[in-house]
Amino acid sequence: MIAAPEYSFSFWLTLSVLVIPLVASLSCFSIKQKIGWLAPLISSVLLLIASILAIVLFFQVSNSAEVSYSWVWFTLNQKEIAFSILLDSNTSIMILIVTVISFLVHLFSIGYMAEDQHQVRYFGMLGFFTFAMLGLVMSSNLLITFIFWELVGVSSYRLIAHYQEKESAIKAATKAFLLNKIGDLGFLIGLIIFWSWSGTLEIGDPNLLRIPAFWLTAAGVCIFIGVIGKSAQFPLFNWLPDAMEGPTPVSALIHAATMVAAGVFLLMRISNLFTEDVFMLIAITGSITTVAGAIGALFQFDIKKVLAYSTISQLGLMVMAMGAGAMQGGYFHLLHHAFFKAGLFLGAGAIIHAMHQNHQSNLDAQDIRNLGGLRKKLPVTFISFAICAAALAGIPFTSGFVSKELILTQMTTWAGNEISWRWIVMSSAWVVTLLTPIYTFRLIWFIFFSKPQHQHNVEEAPVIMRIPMIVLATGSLAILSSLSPIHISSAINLLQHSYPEINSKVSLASIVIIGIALAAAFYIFKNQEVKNQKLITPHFYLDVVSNYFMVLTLKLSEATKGGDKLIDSVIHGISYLQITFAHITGWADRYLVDGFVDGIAYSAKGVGAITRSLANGKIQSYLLWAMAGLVIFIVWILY
Amino acid sequence: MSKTDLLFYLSAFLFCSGLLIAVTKKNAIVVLMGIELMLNAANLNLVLFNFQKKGMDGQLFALFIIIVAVCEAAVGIAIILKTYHYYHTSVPDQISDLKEKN
Amino acid sequence: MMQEVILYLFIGFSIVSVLVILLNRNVFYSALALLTCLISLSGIFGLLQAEFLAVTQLLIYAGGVLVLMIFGIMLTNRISGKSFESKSDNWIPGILVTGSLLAVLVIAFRNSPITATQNELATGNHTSKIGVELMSTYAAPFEISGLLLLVCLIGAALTASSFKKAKS
Repeated sequence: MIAAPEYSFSFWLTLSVLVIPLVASLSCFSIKQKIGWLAPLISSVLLLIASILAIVLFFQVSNSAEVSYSWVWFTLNQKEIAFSILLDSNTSIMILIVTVISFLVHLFSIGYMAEDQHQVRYFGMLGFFTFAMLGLVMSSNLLITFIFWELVGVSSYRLIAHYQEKESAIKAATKAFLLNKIGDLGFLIGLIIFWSWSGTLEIGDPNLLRIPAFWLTAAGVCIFIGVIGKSAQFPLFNWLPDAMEGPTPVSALIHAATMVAAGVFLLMRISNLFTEDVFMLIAITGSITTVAGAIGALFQFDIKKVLAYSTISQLGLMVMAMGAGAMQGGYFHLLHHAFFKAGLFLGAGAIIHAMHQNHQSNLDAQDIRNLGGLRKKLPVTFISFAICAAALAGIPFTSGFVSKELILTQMTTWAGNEISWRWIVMSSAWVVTLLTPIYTFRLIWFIFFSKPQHQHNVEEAPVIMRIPMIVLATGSLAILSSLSPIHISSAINLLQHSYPEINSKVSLASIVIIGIALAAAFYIFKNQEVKNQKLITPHFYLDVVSNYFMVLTLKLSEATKGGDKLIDSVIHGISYLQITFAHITGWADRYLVDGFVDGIAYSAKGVGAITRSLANGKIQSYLLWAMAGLVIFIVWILY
Repeated sequence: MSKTDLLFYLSAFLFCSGLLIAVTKKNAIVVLMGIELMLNAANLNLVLFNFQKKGMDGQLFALFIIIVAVCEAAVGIAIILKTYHYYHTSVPDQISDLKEKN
Repeated sequence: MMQEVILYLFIGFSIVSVLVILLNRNVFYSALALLTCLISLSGIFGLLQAEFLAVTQLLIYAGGVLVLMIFGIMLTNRISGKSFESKSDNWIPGILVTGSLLAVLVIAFRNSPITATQNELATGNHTSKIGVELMSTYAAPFEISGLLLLVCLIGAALTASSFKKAKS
């Protein structure tokens, strides 16, 4: 069951990859404020080392079969809870992605957060965030996973609320935290179900599956609720757009590698535990989320919110794909998404940074209506942003196309020829394929092409911020994961998975759809004045939905309040009884028990005082008492 | 009560009053006197024993005790003089280096 | 008869002088009372066939130790004012302890078999016997006591002398 620890090279590699971000975090926190400028440097260098080690680890693992390590943490009733690590190619590539993106975000943050007062805290939390995510990825014990899951939640909460002065940031962080807690509760209940029925939480343990079907489904649903919370699925996705209050690099990290990826990764990791019903639930939830997110992205004006909704949409796509059984496709898309979404966020960060540098603080730098015509002012940002956006839209020759195509192919196969509810789910994937290029184009158009509303004298971001963007844009090209720009089948088989043959009809259809979408978008937005944008109402139905949820929650809380009052009165009665009893016992305690103890203490003190008075420093009294002792001794001896 | 018995009681009385003097009196020299008295009481006892038995052991012991007592008195007085110079008192109570310092 | 009267006289003197030492407050009177006590004790020694001891007692105590003590009194007490005052303390526990000791001793004498073996207060010369004993049986203690006296002489002289001044 649990393999004996084998301290091989890759074990130490794994351990060091896990520990280095923690070390970075701790060293940041332990650094003095006076030399706070060292913190970004230290953590970036450490993350670079971690990334290099992760690359080595990736090749190490892909050369050999799965490796697992385990050491027992504690034993409960002969049931062991172990810190166990399971490294297969999926895990190792996730580790690679997390460390690399975290490193790039660190690098970007050096420039972005250069003038921030709380750099030390920021970088410390970044390192801790990375550590928590790595732990989550590595662990193959669900309890340990849960612990790291919570750590991820806590550090994201901390980072979203980085600008503590802003009340909206605090509110957003609280919201993220609370909505995540709902999901975490589900996760925990799922764990409890598994534990109580099978007595193990090892992911690879076959005992996990040997529980009654109903409970297996229930546990799967509960864990999926956790995923809903963490990966911002319907109906718990409201926190993600609000989380844009945090610093932009943090958003990049949350959206790409650490926070929301955790849920999708967990789905992939424990997919063997889900029953058909759970898969259905997953697929439907994902399809709702993906369409809702895409529509939401279409109507936002804030760069970061557009990106946030696009993330929700993409995550929905992944979850839907996984629900439909397209594990590889969904996972592949997660990895690709990590690259291009991080690139998009860093690009947005660069734009915001440039606008802020320009001291046009009276303008909202994040509102795309205020931007425009930045193509020539920020060429590097433009190119990298455009490449990443193309990947998001799924345009050929980018990574997004490859994985999206994989998803579409698998979805089509899954839906089958007969019309069923699966067709609805599948069609949502096509709808998203249509909608994504439109909002992506809209974003690009308003930022870089449209006639500027205001004169911007902006400058390109510093080199240290440009490098991560370039790296991520390069990573978003298809060439990195697939030699053929269109088909994944001839890819360098990094993941050692056998991918299904790409249906060329699907590829063709998706290309056509993307083309239509781009054309439509171009037609819609080309001649549209920025002012006319106001015609499109920002009140889209998602807000209504979320408001409805809020009202519902409030109603629910009102209802529970009534119940609470009843419970309260009972509790009050009980507590009065308790207080009375407590008074009685308190009296007894004070006067009987304490009195007894005090009496002993006083008598001891009295004896002590008497004996102490004998040793008063007077020779004659010493002599006297010595003689008294002698007399007593003589009497003792003689009589 | 025979005369020797009376002398035994006398020696016990002398010893006990010497002890009482040594314990109660506050002047170092008087304390020394008490000690001398106790030694003399012991001497008296030894002489009495010698008187009751043949041989000279008791008297010789008394003699040695006298010698030791002389030495003790001489050294004692020397010490008292010295402490008087040092502490400017000859009252032992005021010399309380042995007591815990408050 | 005469001897018994003298004996009771001496006993009375010694008891009275001891009580004087105990009860009076003047150090000088105490010294004189001690002198009386020691002289009467030497008389008792003489009556108990210990003439040499009686003479020694007279010489050493009355002539030596007491003079020494009076010198000590003179040196350590200021002559003016109430300098010879000697307070006393610890009366109650002292009397308790010494009284119980006295009781123990009296009971011990009562129970011991050595009483009443010889009641005769004889006179005679035992001085030569002591001399012989000292030089034969008790030669070693005799020599050692001589050494002790020497050491004590030097020690007392050194202690009492102002050592610091000598050093400086």
